[in-house]
Amino acid sequence: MKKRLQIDQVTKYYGAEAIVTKALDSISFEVGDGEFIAIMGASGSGKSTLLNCIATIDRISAGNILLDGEQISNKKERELADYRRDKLGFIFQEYNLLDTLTVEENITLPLNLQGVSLKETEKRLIDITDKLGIHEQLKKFPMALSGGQRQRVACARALITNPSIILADEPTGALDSANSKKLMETLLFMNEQLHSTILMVTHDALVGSFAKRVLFLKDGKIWNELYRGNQSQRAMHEDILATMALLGGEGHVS
Amino acid sequence: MYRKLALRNVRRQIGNYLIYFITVALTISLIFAMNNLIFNDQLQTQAQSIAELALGLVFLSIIICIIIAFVLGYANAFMLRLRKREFGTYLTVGMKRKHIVKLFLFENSLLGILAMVVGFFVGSLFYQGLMLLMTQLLDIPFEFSMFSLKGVLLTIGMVCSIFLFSSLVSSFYLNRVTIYELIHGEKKVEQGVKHPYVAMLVTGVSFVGIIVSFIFFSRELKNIFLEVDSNPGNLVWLMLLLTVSLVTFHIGLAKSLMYILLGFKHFTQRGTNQFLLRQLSAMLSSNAILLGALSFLIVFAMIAANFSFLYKEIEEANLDKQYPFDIIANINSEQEGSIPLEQAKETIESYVPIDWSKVYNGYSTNERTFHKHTIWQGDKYQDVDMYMKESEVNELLQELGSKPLNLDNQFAIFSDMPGIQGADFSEASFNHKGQTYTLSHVVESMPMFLWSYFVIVVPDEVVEGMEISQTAAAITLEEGPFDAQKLQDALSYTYKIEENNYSVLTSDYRVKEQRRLYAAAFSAIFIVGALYLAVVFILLAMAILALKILSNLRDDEKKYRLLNRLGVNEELQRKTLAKQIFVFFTFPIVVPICLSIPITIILNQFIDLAGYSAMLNFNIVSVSIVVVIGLIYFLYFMVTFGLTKKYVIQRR
Ligand SMILES: Nc1ncnc2c1ncn2[C@@H]1O[C@H](COP(=O)(O)OP(=O)(O)OP(=O)(O)O)[C@@H](O)[C@H]1O
Ligand SMILES: [Mg+2]
Repeated sequence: MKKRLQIDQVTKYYGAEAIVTKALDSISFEVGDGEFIAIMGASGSGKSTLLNCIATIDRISAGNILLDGEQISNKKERELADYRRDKLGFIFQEYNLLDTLTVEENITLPLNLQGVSLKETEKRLIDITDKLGIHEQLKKFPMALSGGQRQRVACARALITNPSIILADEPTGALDSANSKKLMETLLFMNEQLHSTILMVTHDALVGSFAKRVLFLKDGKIWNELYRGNQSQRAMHEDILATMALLGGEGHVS
Repeated sequence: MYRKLALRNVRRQIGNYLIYFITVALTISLIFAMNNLIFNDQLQTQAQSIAELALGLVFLSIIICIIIAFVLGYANAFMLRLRKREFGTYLTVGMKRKHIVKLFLFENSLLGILAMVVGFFVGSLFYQGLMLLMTQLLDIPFEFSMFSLKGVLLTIGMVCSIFLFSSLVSSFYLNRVTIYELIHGEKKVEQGVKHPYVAMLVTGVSFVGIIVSFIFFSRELKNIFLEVDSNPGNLVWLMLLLTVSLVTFHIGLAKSLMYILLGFKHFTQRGTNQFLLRQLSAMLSSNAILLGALSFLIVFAMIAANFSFLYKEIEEANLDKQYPFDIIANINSEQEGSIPLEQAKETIESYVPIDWSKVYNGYSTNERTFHKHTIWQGDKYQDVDMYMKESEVNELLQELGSKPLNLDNQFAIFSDMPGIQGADFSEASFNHKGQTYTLSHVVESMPMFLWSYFVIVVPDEVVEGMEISQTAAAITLEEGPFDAQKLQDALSYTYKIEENNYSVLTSDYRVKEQRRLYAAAFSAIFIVGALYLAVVFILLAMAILALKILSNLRDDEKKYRLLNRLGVNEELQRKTLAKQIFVFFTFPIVVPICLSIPITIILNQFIDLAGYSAMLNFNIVSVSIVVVIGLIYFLYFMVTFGLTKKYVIQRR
């Protein structure tokens, strides 16, 4: 399996001198092509920090991060913007979409930034919206959509550039359980049918059980790792709950 | 406890409070300066003798009051909007509504009082500047005064009543609004532009309205000057048409321009263009009425500035035309009480020595032959043709330093009226003792020597046998200070009108210096007033635009953060933000700047019609006004952009 992402001895400190928080403590792991990984852990364990560092919105203090074999920790600010544009797809918990743009415009924005031709843009838009079943909402503005619909639009936007990896920080955080489940099915579809590589942070054991692999963080270190293998989702869910109980954090149990 | 909370809030959001504070303090200082000016003792003394001055001052204070109501009301609404979420949070954690209202009012009055103190301080500086300008224009000595009590009281009264009113409105709102609305804001569902084609139509029609109002204004102006079936009231209607068209034009354009641009897919689907257009579309269409009103304010600021300069220039030129000599006498000896020339000369000598004087006559045959060639024909006009001797005219011209006439069996027409352009004397000729006299030339910009629309200057022998119908005298005085008003009063007399027993104060002697002082006073108030209003209008427009942009900071920050994550680099973010603010800022000023061209054309036409084209060139003034406005505007844009950039542009 080809390596997509390599996290190598990554450490991240916050603050200076007197109060220093070690948010990540020489973490190492790898993400292969087509993987679907969930990162779980108690509040404050460093999940968002890890994701932000990979997303290059935050700087790491030590270690290396490689995407497609390319070192990203020493790139310049300008190159990083292009890196995000070309290599990454994002789904956040909230405020994923620009409310002044229509759904269609939100989805095609990354292509506009890449300078993709009108024709190609149109083709990819139709392709992606058909697959995700959102073509009826294209002319609407985000405010007119439900939370679940909005997240699905965010998925479409994350997918449209064919990124090397899709990063999702608590994508279901603002959704009820029915909508969470639908969104996870979408992500699963993206992973299985469209072969997207997904790295997702979540609190929710059920949400985590959709992933193929779950990394547990504690105090900025990888504390445990679960592989789904051939297990049923139900069994995976139970395993995650059991691990979380052992972890003893304040993570949601649902 | 709430006080502590309030103070802490002020400290925390210092940036936003600062902008609010500066706007309010600046507005208060501008009003404070004006109110002090209105109640200045020196000016009040002047105003007693000049009714227009007093009236002008009252008019100014009314306009100022409307402006302050507008800005302060606006600034308070901005403040409320800024703090909605905070108040929502207080409510959710259990604070009572009445406490929140109290908190808000306490804070606002705290800031209000502070702004008033600062405003008074800065305002008294403005006031000294204004007084310096005024005294210069009025030709009176500058007497230092810190402020006037009445001005202070009036300002406090104005500011307090507006603060009270907007506080009432805010507390009413805070007592009724739901927590949800406070926290989530009015979750407007962005719908795009609703009726873009209607808006486009409105824009088109309004554009025609603007053009039509200028064309007809120009035509009407011409008619008024040439006195052909004119109706000055139409000018008011045309101004109204211009106002309405300007506002509707901007509303229509704000609601359709971006929609049209969004149709150009090749342009929009490049980089952040689509985002930019959508941002602008939302900003412009939700502020359409405001933008229309601002562009109207800017246009009128420009017109006011132009006309005030024009007025001053014309006033000066006009003085020389109507008062060619230091004193002009048109002696009406039949009138009881009229002062004979010899007696008048003695009176004058007691004020200032006479340098030169000349008595001259207007002759007539009691016919109206020449009037028939002019616009002053028909039953409305009773005046008879007035002749002057070439030799006498030449003596007057020589004293004025002009070239003498050399009429060789011809006659010349002198007039100070623009209406003379409508006359055709090519057919006019007359016989005297077997000699035919034809037209030599018409002089349109001659000083007024006699009370007549025009005079016919003829070789001396022609007036033989005509009756003397007017006697006039021109007097020049030696240099030296004298009380022109007292002299004019001394040369005046009253007579009674038999039928209704009214007493009329009149004078056959017109003292140029007295008129000059009077005109200077009038143009001083006119210029200072108009320029001050223009400045206030423009500052107001920019303050409101800046407040608008700054009150969107939080939203914009979120948007640019998202863009940053999607891979828009810092430079592109900065460019996009600059374009966004620049277009929003320039939107209400582009049309006014373009309109400076027709405004200048009309001003030049006015100058031409009034017969000053040789003396005045107004293009430079118009251009400088545009440049000054543009410069102030650009500075304001840079400041707003600088402030916004700091908050909005994302880097890690
Ligand atoms: N900007 C920051 N400055 C200082 N410390 C920070 C900052 N961001 C995070 N931290 C600290 O780093 C640690 C990890 O934070 P992080 O946000 O990654 O946790 P998390 O796992 O995402 O938690 P949650 O599940 O609550 O989102 C915490 O101790 C936090 O207090
Ligand atoms: Mg987090």
